[in-house]
Amino acid sequence: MKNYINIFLIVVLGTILFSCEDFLTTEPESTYSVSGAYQNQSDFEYAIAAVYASQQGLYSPNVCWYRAMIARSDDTREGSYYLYGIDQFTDGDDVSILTEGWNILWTMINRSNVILDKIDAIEFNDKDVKNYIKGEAYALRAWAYYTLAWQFGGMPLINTSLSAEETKTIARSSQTETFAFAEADYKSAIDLLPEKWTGEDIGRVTKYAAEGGLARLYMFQSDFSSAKPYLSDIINSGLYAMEPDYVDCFTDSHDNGQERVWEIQFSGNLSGEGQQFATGLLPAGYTDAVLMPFSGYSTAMYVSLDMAGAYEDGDLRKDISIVSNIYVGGVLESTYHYILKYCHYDDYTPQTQNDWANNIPILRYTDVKMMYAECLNEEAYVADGEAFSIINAVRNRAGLSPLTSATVPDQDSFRQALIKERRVEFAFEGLRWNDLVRWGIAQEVINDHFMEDDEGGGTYSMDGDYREIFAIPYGELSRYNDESVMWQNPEY
Amino acid sequence: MKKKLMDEVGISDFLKVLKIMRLSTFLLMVFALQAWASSSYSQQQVTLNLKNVKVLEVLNQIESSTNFYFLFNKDLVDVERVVSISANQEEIDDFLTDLFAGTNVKFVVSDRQIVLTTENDAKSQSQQKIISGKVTDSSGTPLPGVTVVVKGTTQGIITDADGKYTLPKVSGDATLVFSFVGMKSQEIAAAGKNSINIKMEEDAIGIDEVVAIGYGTVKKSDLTSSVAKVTDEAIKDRPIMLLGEAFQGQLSGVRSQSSNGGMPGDELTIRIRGINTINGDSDPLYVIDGVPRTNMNDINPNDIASIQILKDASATSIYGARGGNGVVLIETKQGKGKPSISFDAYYGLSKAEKKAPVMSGHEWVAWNMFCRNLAYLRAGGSMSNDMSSRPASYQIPGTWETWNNFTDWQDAVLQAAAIQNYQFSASASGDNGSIYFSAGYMDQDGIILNSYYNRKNIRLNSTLNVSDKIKVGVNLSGASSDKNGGGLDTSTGSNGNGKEAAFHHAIMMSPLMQLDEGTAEWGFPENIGTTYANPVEQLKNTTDNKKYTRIASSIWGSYDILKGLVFKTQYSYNYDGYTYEFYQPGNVTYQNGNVTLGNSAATTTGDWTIQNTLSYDKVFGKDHNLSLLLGQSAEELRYYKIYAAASGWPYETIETLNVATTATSATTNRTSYTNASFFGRANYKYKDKYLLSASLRCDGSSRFGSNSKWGYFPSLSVGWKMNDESFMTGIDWISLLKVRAAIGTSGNDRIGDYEYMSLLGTYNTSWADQVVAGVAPSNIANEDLQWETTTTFDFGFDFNGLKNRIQVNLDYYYNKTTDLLFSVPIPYTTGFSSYTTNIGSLENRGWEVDITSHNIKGKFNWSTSLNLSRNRNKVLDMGDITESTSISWDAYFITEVGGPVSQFYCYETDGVLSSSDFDSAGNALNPTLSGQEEGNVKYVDQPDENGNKDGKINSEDYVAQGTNQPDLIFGLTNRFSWRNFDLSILMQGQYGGEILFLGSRQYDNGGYGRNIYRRWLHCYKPDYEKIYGDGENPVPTEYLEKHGIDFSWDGKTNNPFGTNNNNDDRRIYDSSYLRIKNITFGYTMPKELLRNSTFGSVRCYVSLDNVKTFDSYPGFTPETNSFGNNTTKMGVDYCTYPLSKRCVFGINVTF
Repeated sequence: MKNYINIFLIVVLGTILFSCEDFLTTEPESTYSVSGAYQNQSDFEYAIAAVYASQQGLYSPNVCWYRAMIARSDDTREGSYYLYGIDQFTDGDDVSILTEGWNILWTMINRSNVILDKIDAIEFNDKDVKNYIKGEAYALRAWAYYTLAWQFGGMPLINTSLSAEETKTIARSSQTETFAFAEADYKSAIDLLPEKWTGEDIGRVTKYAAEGGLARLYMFQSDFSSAKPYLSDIINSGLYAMEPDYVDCFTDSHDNGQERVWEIQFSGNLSGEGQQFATGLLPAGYTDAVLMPFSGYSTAMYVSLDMAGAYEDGDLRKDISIVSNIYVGGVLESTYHYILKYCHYDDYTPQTQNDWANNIPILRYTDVKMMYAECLNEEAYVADGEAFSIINAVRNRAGLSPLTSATVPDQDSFRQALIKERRVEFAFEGLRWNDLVRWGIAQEVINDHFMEDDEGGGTYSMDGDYREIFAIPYGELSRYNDESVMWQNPEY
Repeated sequence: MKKKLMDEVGISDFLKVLKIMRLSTFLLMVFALQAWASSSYSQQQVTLNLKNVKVLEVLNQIESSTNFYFLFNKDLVDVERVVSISANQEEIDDFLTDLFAGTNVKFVVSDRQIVLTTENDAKSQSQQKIISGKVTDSSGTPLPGVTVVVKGTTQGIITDADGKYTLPKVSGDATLVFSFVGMKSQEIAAAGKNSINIKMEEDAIGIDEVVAIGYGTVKKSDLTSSVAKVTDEAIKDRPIMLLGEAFQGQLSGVRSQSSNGGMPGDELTIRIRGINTINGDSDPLYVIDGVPRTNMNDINPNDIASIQILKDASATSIYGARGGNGVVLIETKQGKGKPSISFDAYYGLSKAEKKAPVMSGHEWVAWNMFCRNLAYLRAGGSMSNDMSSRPASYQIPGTWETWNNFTDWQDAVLQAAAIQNYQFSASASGDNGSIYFSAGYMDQDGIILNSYYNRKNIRLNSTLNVSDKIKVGVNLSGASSDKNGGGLDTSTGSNGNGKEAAFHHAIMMSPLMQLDEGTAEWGFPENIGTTYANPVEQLKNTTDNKKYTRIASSIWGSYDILKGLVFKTQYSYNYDGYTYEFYQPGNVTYQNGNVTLGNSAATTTGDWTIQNTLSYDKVFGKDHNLSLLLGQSAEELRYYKIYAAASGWPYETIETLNVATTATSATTNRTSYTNASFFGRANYKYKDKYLLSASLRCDGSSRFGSNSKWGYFPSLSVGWKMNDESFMTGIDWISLLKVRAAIGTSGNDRIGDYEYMSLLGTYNTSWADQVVAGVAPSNIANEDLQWETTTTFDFGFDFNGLKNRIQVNLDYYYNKTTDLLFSVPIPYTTGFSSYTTNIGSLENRGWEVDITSHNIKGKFNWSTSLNLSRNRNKVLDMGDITESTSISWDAYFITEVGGPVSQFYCYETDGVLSSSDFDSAGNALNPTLSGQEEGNVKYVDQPDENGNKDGKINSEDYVAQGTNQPDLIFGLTNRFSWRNFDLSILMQGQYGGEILFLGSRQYDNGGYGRNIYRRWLHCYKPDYEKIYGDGENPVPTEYLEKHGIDFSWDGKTNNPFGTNNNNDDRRIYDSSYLRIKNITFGYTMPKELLRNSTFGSVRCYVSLDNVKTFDSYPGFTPETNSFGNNTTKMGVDYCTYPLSKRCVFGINVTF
């Protein structure tokens, strides 16, 4: 009996006296906690990779921000699913893919800020690596701010990680100030980044990618003289050349090849790093063993008839970019044309709808050259000069006859030729809308487009140049709930 | 270091317990078997040597050194007399003769019992006789352990294992009193009788019923808080496959509904008194045989002795930070009575309660002809054009006109499904303890092909009385279940419902597709409308299998330190193992490049709990009853998961991942959770009229932030039994009239394991075609994060009258939950979308009524139980925000201050647009969506806060439109018995509340190609010839006439062409329903027939489930929740597994 009592007492006292505080502190075993991170070189390698990871989210899955960029232009026909009025210019402040784009861009900025806040205090084994990572953080932050600014207008300029309360006190700057901020970031990046990456690092942002990004920022502001030296720097690097075949600007075998200055990286093998964007451009029920080994989605976008008609006869780019007369659910679809540009694989065959290894270009070398040609022309028209040879190289690759000063006699007609050429060369690459805005012809072109019968015949319109930027997402305004800090863009 | 230490403690403790358990199981079985083995005690001899001790001490010594025990009245027998006595192996009779020599004390030795009486007693027994007899329970089973006492004396005896007793020396005018716990006491006059056989009646609805209240019990009449109990009948007399079914319609304030329709094996969702959280988890705490658990899955309903629900915080606060959503106390059976074995079996069939009312083959053809014609007209074509000149998508294939060979795809995937169940149990109790063990097997096929659930259970519950003061016990149970989903949604990778489920496809499939089409091998037919991978083949060939292995073990001991002071300790270890396997051959995949895909996951959850309690019961004087409880518990739970996925199989004869071509994913994950608690409770009763109960629990949890590790949860409740007051004496028809009031707090700690820390998420990217690890903070830390606190006020009224033939319980409650776990939205410019904190509050208020009445008693019995409950849920405060919306697919939900948690959020509609809504040019005269035309849905332009309408239809016109939480839930059970027949009818349902039929976006939306609901045949059709010109009518009149199809407008269905928005109130339906849930008709074989057989009792029954549902919902059942536990998106039906009607035949046999 005494023994039983003793056992009971031992159990009771033993348990009660057990140190509760230690017992009640459990460390996560399968998740890293922030307290142990950002300590050494590899921590920062992981940290910068996470910035790239968020950027990927803008370009895949099938319904994503990139889709909105393409749909906003006259490249696509109005009325596809999951565009929320972006294609019809009826979009308001609650467009999910734009809100998502906004969120991702700010995530990129926040993750870059965390890196830039912490990296200087940490010793690196390799000092170059430290500079490179800083450079990447600057470049990606610059790209995010530039993208936000041209799409949504001026942004709060946040260059360090802040608490929610602190963040809520920083008001929107002007668009110009935001561009200046991005410009400074790009310049810091250019000083720090390597000219190229090798081996397992291929695909990271290079000095020339940053220069291209900066040039594009200047081009958007029509600051051709500032853009030009950066473009020529890329051209003179000797690292890039135009692909001889237009299709190789998009094939997976030529990912990170000579044409690609900056692109979003994807890989296949069902690794979770494949893209789904390509699948989403073709319709559900579409089956073609050669073009795409599985069905598309209900998110398919239709090519506008004037886009399909913009190609000159014999333009090799048309059949690479557009597919027509396909069977959808067993029925020949002759009404709609679809975007095929992203569906060229020759190395890795995607196994499932979200397994495309094809990278998606942000900046192709052809664009660098075309921007350079534009700068030259804006500087001064030179009959059959360098600008002509650039545009003719592009046309030559497309199987088209060269332009001459006979048909393009002056600066303005060269501008028009460039506008025309850019449209077909970069169709569905998300550049058209940006171009229309920077050339100041968005409203005119879009409204002409909407007058066509297959675009509603006047049902829709771009009802003012306020629509050159999108509305600030409603959710964000309500989260700030302070219009003196975060206000809506005029007229929305 | 410390963590490691913990591991060691856990494991070595566990091993020790395992050893102890093995040993004690063996011992328990030996002793329990011995308990009913007869033995002759009178041969036991006494050896003692005591000097100058009281007689009492001598008696105690004999009790502790032998098996004898004494019954005597202290007032009559002088036990304070001091004696010196020695004995060496003396017979008991001789010893006692010596001991009481010279006194007036007489003794009678009967078996182990020795009754001491005095001369005076004995003298009065002038006309003494011997009375013997047998005591049985109402079913005729002998009852051992019944006390039989001669009224007014100390003379008495306890019945033996066969229920028999013999009382010597009973005076002729004596009255015998028979009493037994849980039975009504009976008094029988002995006059003229030598044999008295008694049938004891259970006191099931008696006010002396005992109710579990967490770490203890209390008489129901003394209860001061709100506790509901599932009666035995709800479990034992009808076949239930899952324990949750026993809750349905049986308990006020408790909502039990399936989240997945009729999916076999899916345990029901239990909600007690509404929803107490917005972002947290609303599941109650389950306490099974004293051990806290998070669910009751795979428990064998046949093993259940009682289920009790603690509803208000005065009852739940003893479970502190885990009691906020209510507590379900489940007790399993313990051995009882003489050794018996029982065997139960049933077999039945089930079929779908209803089918989706989609178009028949001919209707589909007619509809698609019409739609293709109309689409062509709308694109500028003319009906007079040759068919071949139309673009292909507008052409009507010539074969359609004469097509007669249609497939009903719903019939193809639905089946009549068998259910079988076999249960075996053995039970006994005796002086040395008790034993209960059982084994069961249940096998249920689903009504969708290849879905099934089967379960094997074993259990051993045993107690051992080591001595009068020490008891030990063990509960061991094992369960293994196997569940196949069938019809998996490959896009979400889980369970049988959802957008891409095979059953969903079967509803939408073109009826022109044949059973032998639609796989990669057979090919897909073209131009017959929308087709999917063949659902029959997909179901047959897809593995979507969940297997659980669950072991629950607990060992306990109790020690009566002093009279009334009991120490109890319990150690439990529970293990849940789970494996998931998915495999789908490329041949039957849907739109996925026909790649064979497979994945597999395994998880293990192990947790140990130590609980120690000290309880003290004491009656002071005559009027003061006090019981005290002090306790402590600690628990640790460890979780592990491994997951792997692969693609491409060379041959499809083997399903496992090891033979797959490409491994695509492999992860493991570990988490742990600990908590520690101290608690106490005091119950005080004065004069059996005034009741008071107070408790306090102090809880610490690893889930709480480092600044708020510990929480305190107090409660206080009082009761007043008015019927015992003098002013009520003489009112015989009232046996209980009690008012009670309670206040208390409890918490909800289901806030995520590491939620308060800032963690790093993995965000991988790709460089050089290789996956690269990316890491970034995934949230913002909150060291103050803590439990959600619920404070309850409960006012109750209990009434028993007309000799307990009617019982009424009323409760009114008000619950306020504060410190809601909330993801507060913060600007995305911070890089994060939200911040998790405790903010805001909500309330639940309502009333509950339970009425049980025995309408007719006698040969024909009729009793009725009714429960009704009403709960209103309202969000009071959400911190800086006033509303939060969420979206899934195209369905919007809103939770706003002033409204209930989770309302649907959409356009309000006002019929359809008529020609008067447009001018002659076709321009809308009223606000419309762009592209709307005649017959389209008319949307209401809602005024803003200033009452102004903006003249536009846009997302600002969304309004909150109802919630899934019903206004009233009810259950009604009627039980009848006549001779050996019994009948019970259970009806249950709800009133109010809404459900969102999200499946409508695919098959009830007026589209074509897919098959859709038949009602669209009757959609609004404008005068086409007026719009498109003479002869331009898209309606295929000839085909309609030939097949007798009616295209006339039903007055409400809109024109699907033009522009309509899915997110409007057309797909929100009233979820009120009344269901005849169960009818059971049983027959018990008469005892007389069985007298000479080995059977103790035999009952056969037939039981019907889901007999009939009265509702106005076009989907399968308004009882569903396709988004599961997601509190802010309640009440969505997105392809629910249909409910089934069941018909089951069963038999119960005891030996």
